[in-house]
Amino acid sequence: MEDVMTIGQWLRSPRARRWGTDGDDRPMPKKRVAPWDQQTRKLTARAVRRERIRQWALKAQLEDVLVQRLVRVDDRPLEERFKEQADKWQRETQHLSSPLQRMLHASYQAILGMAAERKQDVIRLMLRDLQSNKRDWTLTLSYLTQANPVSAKDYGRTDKLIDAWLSWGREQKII
Amino acid sequence: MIVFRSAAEARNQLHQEIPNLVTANWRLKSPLDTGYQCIAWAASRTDRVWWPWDHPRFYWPPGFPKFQLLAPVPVSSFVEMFEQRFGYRKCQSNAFEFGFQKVAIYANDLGVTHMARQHFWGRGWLSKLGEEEDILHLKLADIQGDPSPNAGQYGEVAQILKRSWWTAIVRLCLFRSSWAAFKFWVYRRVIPWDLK
Repeated sequence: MEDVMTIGQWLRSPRARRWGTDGDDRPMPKKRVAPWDQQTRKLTARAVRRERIRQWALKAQLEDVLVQRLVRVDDRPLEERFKEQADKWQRETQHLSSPLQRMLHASYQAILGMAAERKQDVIRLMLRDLQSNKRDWTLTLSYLTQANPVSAKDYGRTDKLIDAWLSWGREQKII
Repeated sequence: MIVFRSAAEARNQLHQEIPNLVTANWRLKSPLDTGYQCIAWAASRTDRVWWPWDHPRFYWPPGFPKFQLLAPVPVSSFVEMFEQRFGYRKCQSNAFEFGFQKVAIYANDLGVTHMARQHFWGRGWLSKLGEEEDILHLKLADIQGDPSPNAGQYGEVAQILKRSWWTAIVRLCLFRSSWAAFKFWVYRRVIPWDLK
């Protein structure tokens, strides 16, 4: 019975510490690599690099296809795209009071993207939309034009703001 | 710009925008008006759009801190303004208390999104839904929604404030809100406006 050990006792025993070694504490010698093995390793590394380049080329081709498709979608006239996004923006954010929430909407960002491409055209479209639909473009207009045609006493008054911006548009001969 | 759209049309759109309203008990109180929003309506005003951003698009009472454009607005800035200008105090309960008027501030992960004002006689809560109509809903939860920033919802109630009726009278808020309510009542009676 004395020869029988529990697992805990065995793990604490010197025999367990020597487990996996050859009975001594010297470190195992490094494995020598044969010259032909080194050549194989180089070839493998080259193959891996080639595979990576092939994958990168495939990805680039796929991106080209996607960009072509996007360009095809955005091929419509700016006015049409603007109207579509403006309608969607109004429909989906009209109930929100926080201007930050309204400006985070994807359609608003899309319109800002259009403005980055063709700023003057988007300003003209916004002023026309302000005139016909009274949609609130005053924040974007002030950002794009860096102008402030509103007098301090009219801050926050939607009708006065719209009138001021339309007057500004006429003065600048945009509308 | 004021638009008298039919109740059915308004209901269709509001149900899509605020899903909780589908099962809630609510009704239209005013026409669609782009001239003011919920914060102004909580302050009993119907002539300007209130928001603490430093931009001509918005009005914010002088003397209170304004934030840069696109900055999220914390609940504390609204609490400070409503406490100092309109005599409100923080409170815990949203239940009607005789002699007191309450407002609720809604917020999501990015800050304040909406405010609702309790009906003077406690018949529910008055909410101006952005540029859309002013509605009377029974519970604050009726317009609550997803608090994530891109959800397009009001999030949850973050703070309740209350003040006495006497404070509302002294600060002319009762007069202003009664005048607006009278105007809406005239609209409902005089203008051929489909409210069924």
